[in-house]
Amino acid sequence: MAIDRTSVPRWGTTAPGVDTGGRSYAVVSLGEAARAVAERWIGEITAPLWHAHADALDDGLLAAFRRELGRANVGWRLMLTGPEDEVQILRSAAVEAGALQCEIRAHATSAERQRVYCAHCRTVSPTGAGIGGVVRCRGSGLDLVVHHHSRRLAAYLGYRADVEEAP
Amino acid sequence: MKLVVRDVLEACAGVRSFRLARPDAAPLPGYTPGSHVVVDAGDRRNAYSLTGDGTVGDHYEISVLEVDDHYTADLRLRRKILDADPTRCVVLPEARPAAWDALLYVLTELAATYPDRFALDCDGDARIWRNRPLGVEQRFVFGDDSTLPCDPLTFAGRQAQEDLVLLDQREGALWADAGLVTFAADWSLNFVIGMPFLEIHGPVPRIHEEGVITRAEQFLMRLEPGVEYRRTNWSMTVDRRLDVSTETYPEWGRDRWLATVEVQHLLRLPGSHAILFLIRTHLAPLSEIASVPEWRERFGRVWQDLPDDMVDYKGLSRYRAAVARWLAPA
Repeated sequence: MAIDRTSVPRWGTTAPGVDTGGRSYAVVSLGEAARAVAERWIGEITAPLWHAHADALDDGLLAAFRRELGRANVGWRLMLTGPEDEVQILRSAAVEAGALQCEIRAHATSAERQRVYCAHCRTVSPTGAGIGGVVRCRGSGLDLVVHHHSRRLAAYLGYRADVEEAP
Repeated sequence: MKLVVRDVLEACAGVRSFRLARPDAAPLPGYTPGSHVVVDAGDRRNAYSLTGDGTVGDHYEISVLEVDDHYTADLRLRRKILDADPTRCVVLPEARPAAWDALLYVLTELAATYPDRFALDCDGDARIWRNRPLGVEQRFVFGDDSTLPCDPLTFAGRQAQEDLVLLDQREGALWADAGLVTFAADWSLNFVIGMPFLEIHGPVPRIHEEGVITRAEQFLMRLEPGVEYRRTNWSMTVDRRLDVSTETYPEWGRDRWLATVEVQHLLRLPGSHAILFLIRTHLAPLSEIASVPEWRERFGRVWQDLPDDMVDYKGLSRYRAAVARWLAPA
């Protein structure tokens, strides 16, 4: 029930299987823990495949991923695995390029880091505070409450924490 | 069942109420709050919520919105907000046809409702829009962005006071793909764009256990072009302030002394088949509400009966006792 409605990402303990309806695939894995997940997916894929693995997401990989998105046609499927914040950035780039949510399957190997979007200055700050926690915004310097999650922005919403309590 | 208009009342600035009764003044069947009637007026057909309390036996009451005397001030404010924060208007690329559809709907609606103030005429492939209160005359070709001074949704938002949200239907759900929202009641458009309907309402307490949002989404997904539905929503704000978005929360979060009432219209656009969600925000000081004894009593009951988690979600916990006391009968 909660999983259907919440905007907050929930990850199963086991990775989803490959969507066998695809005609071509892209698999991106980030970090050591994601390697085995990606290898299992790749073992199940017989259609044309683009695969990238890195220890962490960087600009070079993101640019290569965007080039791959530009080549994608109907029937293309995306499989993502790695830390939640990096998986969300890739998912966001795919959706921005026109991918549908149903074409994407993702599995987070960890969810310790979050990205928080400041509603007041629109800067994204990293945190480990989690939902309901407080993080200092790198842009506005305000203390933000971590609220719900946007897949498009690949970030949690943060709004000023102390407005109603301040003297 | 045939009904006639028995009375026309000015409920408050910009809202006109109609009392409908049987020609022979015979008693009418009761109804539950949230019921609506469908009204045919010439070639137009619209569904209106019944605004009475359901206990009155011989008439039904509906209320119709008008362009009010805040028109130019509200639109000036909207331009200022958009200039300062362009993220108040977001149109994902796939929503561009729906944005044009929404613009045509808004202009047609304004011209049909207030022919003395607005006009939309055809000139070959082009259309000519005239907005007398704002002194705007714009010639444009439907679907051609280069014929407008801005994107179509922004142009619509410069002519009508309503906030606009476009929901696309796919994968068995509604997705917020575009919006122009400058008067959001404690939410952020830029944040919710791209989300499905259920996720947008994820943080709202109670409504999920009660299935409200799932039912609302099912209802909206079955909307057909040509009918409009209306609902209302309320919160509190401060100082005739319309911009109570999450973005500006630090400026207004502490003081909320005006009731804001949102009159929302929902309809399916005929061309793109997107759902257009119009939100018109009205402000009323508590003293204005209290000046009508029935309103005072009813608003007092609402404050009393609201569950704690909902009061908290609406950000009203700090006022509850004071407002309930103020509204209580002397």
